[in-house]
Amino acid sequence: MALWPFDYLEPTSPEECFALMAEHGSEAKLLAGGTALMQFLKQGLARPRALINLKRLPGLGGIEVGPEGALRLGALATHRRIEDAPLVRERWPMLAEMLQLVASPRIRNMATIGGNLCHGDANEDPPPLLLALDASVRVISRVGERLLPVDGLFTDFYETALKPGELLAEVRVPPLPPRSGAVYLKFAPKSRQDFATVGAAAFVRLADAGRCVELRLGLAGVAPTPVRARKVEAALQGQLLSEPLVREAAALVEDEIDPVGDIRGSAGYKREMAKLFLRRAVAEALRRAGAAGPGPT
Amino acid sequence: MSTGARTVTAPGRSGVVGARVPRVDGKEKVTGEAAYAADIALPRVLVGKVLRSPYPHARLLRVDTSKARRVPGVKAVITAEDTPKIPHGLFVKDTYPLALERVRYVGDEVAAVAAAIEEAASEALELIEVEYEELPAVFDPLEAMAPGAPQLHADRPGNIAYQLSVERGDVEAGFRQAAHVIEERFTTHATYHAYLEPIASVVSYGHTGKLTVWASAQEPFMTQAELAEALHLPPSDIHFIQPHVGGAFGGKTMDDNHLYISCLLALKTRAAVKLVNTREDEFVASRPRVPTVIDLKVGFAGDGAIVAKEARVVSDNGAYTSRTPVIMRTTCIRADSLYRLQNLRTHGYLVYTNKIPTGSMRGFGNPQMHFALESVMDMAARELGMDPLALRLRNATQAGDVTVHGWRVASCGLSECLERTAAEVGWRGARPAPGASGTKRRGVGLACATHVSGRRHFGNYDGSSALVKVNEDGRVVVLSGEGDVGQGSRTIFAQIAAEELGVPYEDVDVTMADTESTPFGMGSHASKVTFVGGNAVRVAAADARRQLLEITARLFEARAEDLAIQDGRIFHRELPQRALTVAEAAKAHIYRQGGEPVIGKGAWDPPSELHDKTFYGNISGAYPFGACAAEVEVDVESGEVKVLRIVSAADVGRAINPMLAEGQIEGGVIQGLGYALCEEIRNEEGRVLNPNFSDYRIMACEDIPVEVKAILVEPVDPYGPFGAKGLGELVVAPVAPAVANAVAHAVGARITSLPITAEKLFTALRRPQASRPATPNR
Ligand SMILES: Cc1cc2nc3c(=O)[nH]c(=O)nc-3n(C[C@H](O)[C@H](O)[C@H](O)COP(=O)(O)OP(=O)(O)OC[C@H]3O[C@@H](n4cnc5c(N)ncnc54)[C@H](O)[C@@H]3O)c2cc1C
Repeated sequence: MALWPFDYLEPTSPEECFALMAEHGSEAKLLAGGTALMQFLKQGLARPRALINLKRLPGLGGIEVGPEGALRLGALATHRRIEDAPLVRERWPMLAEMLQLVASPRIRNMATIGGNLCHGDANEDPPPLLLALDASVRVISRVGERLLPVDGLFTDFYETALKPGELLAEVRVPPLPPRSGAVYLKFAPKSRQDFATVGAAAFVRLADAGRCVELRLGLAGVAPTPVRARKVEAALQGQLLSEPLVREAAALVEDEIDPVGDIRGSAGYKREMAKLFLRRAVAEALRRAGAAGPGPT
Repeated sequence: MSTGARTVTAPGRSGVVGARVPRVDGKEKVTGEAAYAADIALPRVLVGKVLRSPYPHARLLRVDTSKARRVPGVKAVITAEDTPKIPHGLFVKDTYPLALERVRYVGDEVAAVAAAIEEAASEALELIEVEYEELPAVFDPLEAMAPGAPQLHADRPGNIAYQLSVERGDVEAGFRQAAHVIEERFTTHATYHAYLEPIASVVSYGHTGKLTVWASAQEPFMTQAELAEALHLPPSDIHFIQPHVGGAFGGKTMDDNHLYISCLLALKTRAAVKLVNTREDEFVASRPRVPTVIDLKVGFAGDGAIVAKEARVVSDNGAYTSRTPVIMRTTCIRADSLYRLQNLRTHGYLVYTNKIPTGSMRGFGNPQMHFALESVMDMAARELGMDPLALRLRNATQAGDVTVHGWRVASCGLSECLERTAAEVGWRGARPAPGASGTKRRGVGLACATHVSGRRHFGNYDGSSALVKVNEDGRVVVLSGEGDVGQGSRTIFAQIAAEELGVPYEDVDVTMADTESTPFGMGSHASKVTFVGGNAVRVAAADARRQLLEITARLFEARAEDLAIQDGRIFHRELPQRALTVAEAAKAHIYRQGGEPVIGKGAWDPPSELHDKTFYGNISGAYPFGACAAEVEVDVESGEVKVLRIVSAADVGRAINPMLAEGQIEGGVIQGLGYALCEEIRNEEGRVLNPNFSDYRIMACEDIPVEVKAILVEPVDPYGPFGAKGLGELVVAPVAPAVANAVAHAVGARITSLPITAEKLFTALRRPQASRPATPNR
């Protein structure tokens, strides 16, 4: 199908990019892998007058470890490159596992991690895990840069905290401390290639005594944005995580989510699945953290 | 020529029947060379676009196209006023190519544009002003039947487009004998064909006075005839050329308005027009599978014999009538011949609703009833304490039977399909026990099915014809009007002609269907192309062979009976050194004073009969049978169903090409699994909620069970070409009930409403055990 006429711009430096962004303002859209944006354009959900392709900007595709030990993913790194990177597979394997659950290889070959986060879709898979892993993003603009926790990036339905003129440059994932475990579980019962009905991520760190000293939970598909399950976290923080305790705590997620019924399930079903998969995610994260598994220990 | 003759299964003459030869069009397709309708490039072709109703039911008060017509590049903007206002529809003529006075569903075609470029066409669409007066609408067929419901068509009171009753034997007496009666309501849903190629057409009109049509249609000659009627043109003024077609599955019978509109635009502009459906057009305005509500009651004697069956079928027609009367009839009747039953009564109602009109999709109404009946068989087996396999074998139709509706079953591999399928999935004497680990439960389920190979219907004719031309270089060209929509019929025809003639497969070409140069054929429907079209090709090839033998006999001064053809050589049986090639014989016949072409001609009409007023009769020339077994794993906490393994056996009579037959089975299984588990067109107030492939899920590669085992059962049908029967539609029907039965085996919950979503199963599993089996699952 034919789209309306628009300018197609390919800046080759951040300065040029910022100048173009300033010039076109809200008439412009940034283009990374295009997998989400092109759908929006075709469905008439956005009608920009200019597309600014980021692909030629230098230095935005790296996959490396920063001096502080965090994984640094350039915004233009594709899902596929990240999931295939030996560095990621060895040291952040849960990230590679999660990325393998995103859409199909065709989409993952195109879609970028920056595009995924900036799209701000509450059903996407990476956000819950990045929330659980306490990741942050580096945002750049004409006037400088700022670091922003992923927790706080998502402000509303398809909306992020990025301001006009800002560009997401990098995602930073902290190193995994000893005795910790993390996992993302995607529940997409119609098809492996579908968006999640519910997605749940858990990060757990244990103290020597087996108590849980750090715990973060992220969810997809249950609210206008990806969310943390803070009440559940609070109920489990500092505890010895037994199966009944986890089950009881997971039920607290009820008050923190606001799913809408759609073709992937009714609101009620999504609530039930949020509890179930949170519970399962905590159990698996615990197992990975080296606990004997949720039990009365 | 022969008609309805038993085609004796002579030993092959080239050995290519039964061989896994590659498709004639395989390379073209995998390299992207093959041209589909949208690839047809004509000079100065205009782009067509369609304006659709945003309302499920409304009066059209005003359609003003004046602004749209002024857009530069726009050549025509048409509404019903620009058309002959002749409604189309094979059985009930209620569909106008462009809405007349009223729209009846979201997607109904209101106006169309042809313009030099797409942008102009889009702009014009936006400038068409339509004033609607909304009317009350009805979306549920049961509500639409109720008194006081909004009425869709003035001449169809009660929103009943069609109804039927069938009764055989003595139903009351049958139920009185029953030791167990199972009674349940089943519901099935609308699904989309999901072929790769959306419906597309290029239509050209000019000073030839003819409409030349390239379209993704699955029945070239029937499409020609239907267009002729609705456009008020003589059929021969429509030249239909079938390009490659990227899958059809019943969705390209052109019962929808697409092709009428592109033809009307070409006639109006006296130019060439291309109209290509977007995927959204497909989801909102093609003709998806008919949803049904089936109330089924079946009585069983203590030994498992079915003693009575009673059914009420309500089929959701949507806003207009495509082939749905006959589809509903198929739902009502066809599955009855699966078993040896005698007493039955069925009422069927085809009901209008303000939704997308429904239509034919692989199985033509048959999978719907098979889901209900084959679920009931397992429910009964449980009550009777019988093994579900044994219960089916106890009742299974056998070769030589005349079924309750008068089918004469000449060949039947039903029991063999059941036994082999069950054995493959683990039935060793009895059904394997369900398995459990953690929150997962495993179970296996079985179901079987029957279908037709062509169905006598249209003017008491269900035949086909073919020409087989032998060129002067010995190459053979088969001309058939049946066409190929991707199922591989051109390959099958080449194999049949090669075998019958005695020439190498590589020497046979099969033309594309073209109403001006290929002989009449009814096209792809009712799983008939191999069976009926293949027989016509075989008869034509035999005729060409006879001619070649006679030509050679004259040259050799021998008797034709003493000659034979094999591997492209014609030789004397007793003096094999007296030989020439097919090329030499053909050339000698053509290149001479008074020479003439070598063209074999053939026609074949199966030995079937039109049913009588009560729908009794041997409607098809052959009946395929099949069985399917599924092994599933259910997560009892979420309701998610994973299919671990599928076994599907099909009695194909004889597999002309086992590779293509297995491909049909695998594809049918996957489509059947989509029907069972994940595919569903969802509506809200008549609006399709998921008109795209990200929200309408078909099985992705990773979703297909690792093991899909196809078993070919080949009893050799006495009427089939080399023994072959139809296959394409059969395989879909038993999949959903096999999955439902496996789920019930694994967790005890019986899902009676398709698709079996995780949420439905989750809800069913939460219900108190006792009330589970009898409760509808919506
Ligand atoms: C068929 C299909 C299936 C999918 N299935 C899944 C799934 O299962 N799970 C899942 O998680 N996701 C899924 N997705 C979503 C997919 O992950 C996103 O489309 C993808 O990540 C977006 O990345 P992109 O590079 O293509 O972004 P684009 O489409 O190029 O951009 C997306 C948005 O982000 C903005 N943007 C992009 N990069 C930047 C940047 N660096 N700074 C600021 N703004 C930026 C763009 O302006 C645009 O608004 C699916 C998508 C499709 C098309």
